[in-house]
Amino acid sequence: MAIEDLRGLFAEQSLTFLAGIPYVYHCHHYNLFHDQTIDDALGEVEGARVRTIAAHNAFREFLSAVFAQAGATTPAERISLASEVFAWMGQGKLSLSVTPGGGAARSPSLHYGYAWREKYGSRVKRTEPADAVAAGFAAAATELAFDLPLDSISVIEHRCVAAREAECEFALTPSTGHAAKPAIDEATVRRYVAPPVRGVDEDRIVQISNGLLEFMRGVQGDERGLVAAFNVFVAAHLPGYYNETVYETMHRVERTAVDSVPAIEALMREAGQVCVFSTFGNVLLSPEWEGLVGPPTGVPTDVMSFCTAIARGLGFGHWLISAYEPGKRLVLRCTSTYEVPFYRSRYGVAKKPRSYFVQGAALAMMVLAESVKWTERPQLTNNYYVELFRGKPRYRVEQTKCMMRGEALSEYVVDAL
Amino acid sequence: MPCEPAMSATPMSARGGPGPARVSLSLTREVSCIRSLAWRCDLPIAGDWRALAGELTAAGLTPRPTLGGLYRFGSATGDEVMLVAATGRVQFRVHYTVPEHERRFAAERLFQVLVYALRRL
Amino acid sequence: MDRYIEQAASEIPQLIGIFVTAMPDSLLFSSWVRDGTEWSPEDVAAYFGDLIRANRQGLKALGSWSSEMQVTIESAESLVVLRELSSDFVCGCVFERSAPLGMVRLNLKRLLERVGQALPKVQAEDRPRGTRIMEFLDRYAPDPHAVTLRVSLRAGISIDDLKSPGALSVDQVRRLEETACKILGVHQLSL
Repeated sequence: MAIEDLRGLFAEQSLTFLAGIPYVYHCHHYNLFHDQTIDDALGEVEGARVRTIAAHNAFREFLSAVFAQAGATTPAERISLASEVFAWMGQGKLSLSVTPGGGAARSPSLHYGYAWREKYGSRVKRTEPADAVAAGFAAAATELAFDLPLDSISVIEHRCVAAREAECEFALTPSTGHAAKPAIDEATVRRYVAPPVRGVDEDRIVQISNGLLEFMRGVQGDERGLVAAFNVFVAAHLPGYYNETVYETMHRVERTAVDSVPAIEALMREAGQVCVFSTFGNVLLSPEWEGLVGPPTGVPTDVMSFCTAIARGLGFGHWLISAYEPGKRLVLRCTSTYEVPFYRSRYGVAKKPRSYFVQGAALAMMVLAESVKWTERPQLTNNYYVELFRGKPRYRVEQTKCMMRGEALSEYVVDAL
Repeated sequence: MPCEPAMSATPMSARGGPGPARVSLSLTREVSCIRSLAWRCDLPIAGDWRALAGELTAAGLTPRPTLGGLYRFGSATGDEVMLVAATGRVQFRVHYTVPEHERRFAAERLFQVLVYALRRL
Repeated sequence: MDRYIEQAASEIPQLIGIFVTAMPDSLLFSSWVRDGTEWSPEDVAAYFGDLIRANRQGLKALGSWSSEMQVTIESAESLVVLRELSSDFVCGCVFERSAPLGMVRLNLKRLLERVGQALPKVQAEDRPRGTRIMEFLDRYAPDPHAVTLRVSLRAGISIDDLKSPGALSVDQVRRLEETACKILGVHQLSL
């Protein structure tokens, strides 16, 4: 069975699935910033532990579904298929040499380690490994290959390309297992969406997002298991990983370092900004986009529609423009996101708005629509990001409705100051 | 803003005599997140894209799956050439494994392939 | 001072820019760049100052330090020469790459003499370490837009307190410095 055949689409909500488990696309800028934020909050050791566990859980859930759907039953079939899927996702090419008692894994090209070295390697020296996602994956794949319980294999990355080693290497050893939590699968997701609503410029957004979804169907890892598309490294990823790391970290900070809550919430929002600037921005400037839609016009309403279409095309959910007055206000609504089903299933009803990623994304969409001179082919550099987002704030975002709070849909209002 | 030009070329009509006007091309670096990976030139939009695609294929580039008005080609070393018919934009995307100090030269080689293909039209 | 430098620079062909950096904080003191050049003088001056400082420390570690030290950097497009004029000032000159080295040396000698004569005698203030650390992070941290938030989270210092880094307590400065080293991946800061 080809991996492409495992794909599913909940079209009216722009949510994508692989073997019935949600997946989305993010670029290396967002992925690295996200992981960095977790480590900033928890410290390197605990951050790596939380990230590895989250990846372990997410890939356990995902690979179970993949093996079931593909009919992979023997250890050899499962290990081979797991490695193939990981590479297809653009997460890298990981060789597993494992038995029920553990073993080793290695790779010269993992999305996180490789992209970290490419982005930061010449500026910062790193000693800690960067590939918690691959580590969690390796542990999950090993457990499932030999029908072992969850957490019966623990893993540590002891060499990493980001730390200037030639290859990433992992050691897998036996551990004590425990029962898995119920999977956040398509059936669960469908319980936490609202009926789709038509927004401003809906027909054009649908047309573009369908084109982008179609284009993304052809995107897969190369011979190194990496995807270089839109001039960034892109990877298909599991929302379960993002959600578990974000919310476990948030809850922990709220319990143990309440004074740091404003800072962590701001960084989580910043991650959304980084995603829109880097991923959406590079998509808009790419020849792929130019062939599909044309060069960006620089008209704010166009750019806002384009960003909304990109969000849908990457599987982020049904984002819609409820209202947009250039220079004044944006009201972005979502009848589905990849955060809500996880939060509601795992934690129940939230006490406050928790959709940090979309909060930041909404604010960044306003900045991109109104402050970027697209017809001049801007360079999306770090300095430009600083120029756009630092200094005196020009916009403010507030999440006024939140499906995690049990409300009918999520709403984000961005006002010009 | 466009970056420093790396190379320029003037393909001429292959047939000589009255033919398409001279085209002057410049290869410039596009600033992308991955350093020096993406390079650009711009062609007149009134070109014969199918014929050009044919010439690029004959020159050893492999057509890749695409969508919309985009032509995509891959080289044996994993580089890509993308042509946007509606706007004439050409992007040369050097493979990310090429060391940074060699990426400019890799882009120039791809640029030459395009120039020679245009000359054969 | 800027006009004085401009006058001195205008006599030198193939000179693209001059930057005078006040040490020890690597702050721009004076500069001149040729019309059409899109540089941020503050950034360039800061990096040049840091480079001289790092070079000085490296040479000291080799036992080779001398007050007559000069740093020359050749790139594809330019030739950069950095020289300490005094313990308080560093001068950086950027020439076109095609400038003959002999002419560069000759012009540089004259230029530095003129600039050195025009510099004031200064009593360097001991700026608060917290301020200097935050400025250093601003220059070298990989995601400068997120630096304050990252520091706040890691060091346990509120965002409000970080708005006035000069007023941080001794313990806060210690935590700030540890965090800065962690973010930059260094054992100690070159301050």
